[in-house]
Amino acid sequence: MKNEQPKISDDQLVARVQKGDKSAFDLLVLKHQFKVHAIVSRYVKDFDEVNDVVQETFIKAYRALENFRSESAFYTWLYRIAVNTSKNYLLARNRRPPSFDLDLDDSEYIEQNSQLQNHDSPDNILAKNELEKVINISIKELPADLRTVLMLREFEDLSYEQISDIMDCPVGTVRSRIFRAREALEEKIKGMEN
Amino acid sequence: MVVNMSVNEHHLKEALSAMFDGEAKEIELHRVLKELPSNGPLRDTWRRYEVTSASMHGYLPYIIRDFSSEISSAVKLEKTYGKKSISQYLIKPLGRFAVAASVATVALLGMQEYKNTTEYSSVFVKTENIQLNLSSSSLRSSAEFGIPPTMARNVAISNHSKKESITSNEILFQSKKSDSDLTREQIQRYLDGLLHRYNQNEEKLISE
Repeated sequence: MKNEQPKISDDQLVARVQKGDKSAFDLLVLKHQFKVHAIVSRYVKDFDEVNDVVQETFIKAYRALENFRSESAFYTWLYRIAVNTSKNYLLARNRRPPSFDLDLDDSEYIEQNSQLQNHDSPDNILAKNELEKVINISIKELPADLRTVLMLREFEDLSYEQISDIMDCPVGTVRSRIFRAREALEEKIKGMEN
Repeated sequence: MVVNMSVNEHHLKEALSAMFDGEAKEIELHRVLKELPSNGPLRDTWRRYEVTSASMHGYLPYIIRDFSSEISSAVKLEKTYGKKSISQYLIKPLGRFAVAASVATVALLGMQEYKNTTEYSSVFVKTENIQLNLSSSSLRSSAEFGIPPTMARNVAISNHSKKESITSNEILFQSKKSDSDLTREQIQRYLDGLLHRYNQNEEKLISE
């Protein structure tokens, strides 16, 4: 189970938005858009409608950000907005929302491929599966030190300092290795996109 | 694995990677945020970091769509937080000035009022404690009692004891806000009381 630790960068970004830096909100969108997409798609089946609701969620979040006081983690707060926006969207169209609520912990692990109705075409499924396969192979092909730090960061949610203690190396080395691992994976993804 | 990039680009992307993990320094955050709006490749890099993470955690979407550009355009139309209008910049200092000005005005008025009324207002007087160095039956000017001459015009001066009883221990307490007419009457009573007291003392001395 992933640790629900509030990310320092989310708080920093929120504080910057509250001081007038809209580009900080761009980064929050980039960071959480896939998760919000996954949450919304549990309620809304049509892909185009999902896109509309995702955008509406983030606009609502921006409007409410002025009063956000970090009492909960930013993602927890955003998750609630996504759920409420999805439900209201369905109610406005006389559609009944699901009787269950998506659990916050599950929201990061849902398989949304079974939920979308009009975009699970063979081509899309193939493309998704292919991408996942390439990423998995690329991770396995990484040098051991790079693979280890990436796995510790992504799956164990450890800080750089914690990883440096485990690996018995400086924090700067941990940071550099994680970056190099991501760079290698990015090149593979870029190749598929091209 | 060969990745050709400039040193600056390298540092920027490494900062982005640290930001992704919540491990970036404040200055790096500042640099990245400054660069992000106009740097398409940097935004793409972030998106690919997200794809990697989503794939590792099992929530990779079917169609990877970047909403950030559309949302960014929509957010540009929304109000910007933290920025004040010109009037808001002026309100606080003007407000402070107004408060300071009103306090100063009240103080000045209060001072003037006090100056004008200080001799005969807010006075607790026990007539028995007043030392009167007066020669017999002389008309004393009101100035000796600290009263401006104009205020003492109507003071009754008499060598005869007043029939109306004036308590020698009469205490005058005058509110600073009282009307000046009331104050004059009270001054008169006070002076009459003083003179009466004096006359009584004189008579005692003479009889002794």
